[in-house]
Amino acid sequence: MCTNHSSIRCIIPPYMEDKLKDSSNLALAKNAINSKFRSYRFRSDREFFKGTNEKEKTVLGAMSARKTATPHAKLEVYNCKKGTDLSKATLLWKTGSTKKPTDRDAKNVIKAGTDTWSLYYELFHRNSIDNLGMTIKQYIHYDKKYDNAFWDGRRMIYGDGDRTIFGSFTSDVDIIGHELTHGVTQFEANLDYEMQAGALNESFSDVFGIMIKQRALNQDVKKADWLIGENVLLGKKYALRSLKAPGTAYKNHPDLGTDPQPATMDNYQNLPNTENGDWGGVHINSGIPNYAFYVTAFNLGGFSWEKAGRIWYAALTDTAHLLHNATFVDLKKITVTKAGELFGANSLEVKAVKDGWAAAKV
Amino acid sequence: MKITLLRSGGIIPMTKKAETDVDWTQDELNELLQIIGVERHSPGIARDASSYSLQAGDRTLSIDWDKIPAKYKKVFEEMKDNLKIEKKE
Repeated sequence: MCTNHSSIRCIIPPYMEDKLKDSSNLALAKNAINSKFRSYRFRSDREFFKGTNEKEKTVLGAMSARKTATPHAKLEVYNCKKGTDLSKATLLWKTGSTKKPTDRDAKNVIKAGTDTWSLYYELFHRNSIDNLGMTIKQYIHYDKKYDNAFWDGRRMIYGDGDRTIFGSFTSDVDIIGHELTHGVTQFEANLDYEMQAGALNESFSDVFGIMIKQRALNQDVKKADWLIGENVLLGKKYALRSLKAPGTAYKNHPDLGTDPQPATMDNYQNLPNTENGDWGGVHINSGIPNYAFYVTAFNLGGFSWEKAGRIWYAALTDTAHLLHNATFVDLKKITVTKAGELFGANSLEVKAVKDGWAAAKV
Repeated sequence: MKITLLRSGGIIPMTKKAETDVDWTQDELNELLQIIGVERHSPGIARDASSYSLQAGDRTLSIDWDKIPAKYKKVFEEMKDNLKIEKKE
């Protein structure tokens, strides 16, 4: 039996080791001496650690623990200076810059960009838009009085609004979250931007946009107003969209008329799949899956991102089942399946998802 | 002749319009439309983006703003500055 001996080398008993170090064969002797030296080192290390107290162990553990890089949001903000040529935009701020910008729109997109990254990372372990740590590039002050915000396939662009009907398109965290989520969708299900798939694409952006806003404001499903773009569309009683009551975000607006979004499938708008037809009404019919999400989240209670958000994110990232040309019925089936996988087949969550889609008459 | 610039699309779907009178000949207009006209059959990769089209007589054609020749730029820029939302009931 091997005693008082290095466990890693105990296949050679001590008496043999002593013989070997006295051997006339220089190579064998060298190996044996080395081995004996390591054994002493090992035994002395073990003796040392035996005598350490908890505090010393903690300090030593902390010293030896391998440091792994924690992902963090990487942002860049560019100023278009009212131009439309993005190659001429100047870098205003980037993550790590010590000097904070004074520009209000820059501050808005930094805050909302960080909120968006945090929601995706902290809740879903997703590192940025592509889940590979992509730098989030945001371009502000695009064009003159430009009343829109868009995702161009690799970055976000925001106009200042005409200041009469629309305020700055950086004024609402949900709008910024909406645009960034178009990026996430592009890297996941990559839903077509036409007909029902396009409406689902828009809906995912609204759903995650509203969760980013509610999380930033620490609002539960009851406290939240479920409005998208309430600061972008000027006037206290107006917003761009309502997930709680699609079709009511603005009523009798002097320029825009009344919100055309349906809440239920029986009011689905059959619009032409053309530019003028909003590619089959992607911004209009999105009211239907939006309403399904709202009802699901509301019935589950608490914070929208805790359960309903997890289910919808699992659906968005299940690229084997959520295909590029998915329909509302497809998403209904996938969200029911995901709720079952996450919370159990007979869970209240599955029932809430089914009730959500039933309320939207899908 | 009367020409109309239209901007459509965006995060909230709306159409904006601006009209102006120009003294271009039909040949000039045809040549311009050949340069700036684009066939847009799909929404492309951008999301919530807006796009422009030009209406002249009974023709309406999607246009590429970046291809507008320098000599026509001023007319188009002025129309863009005067775009008004097409009101809905």
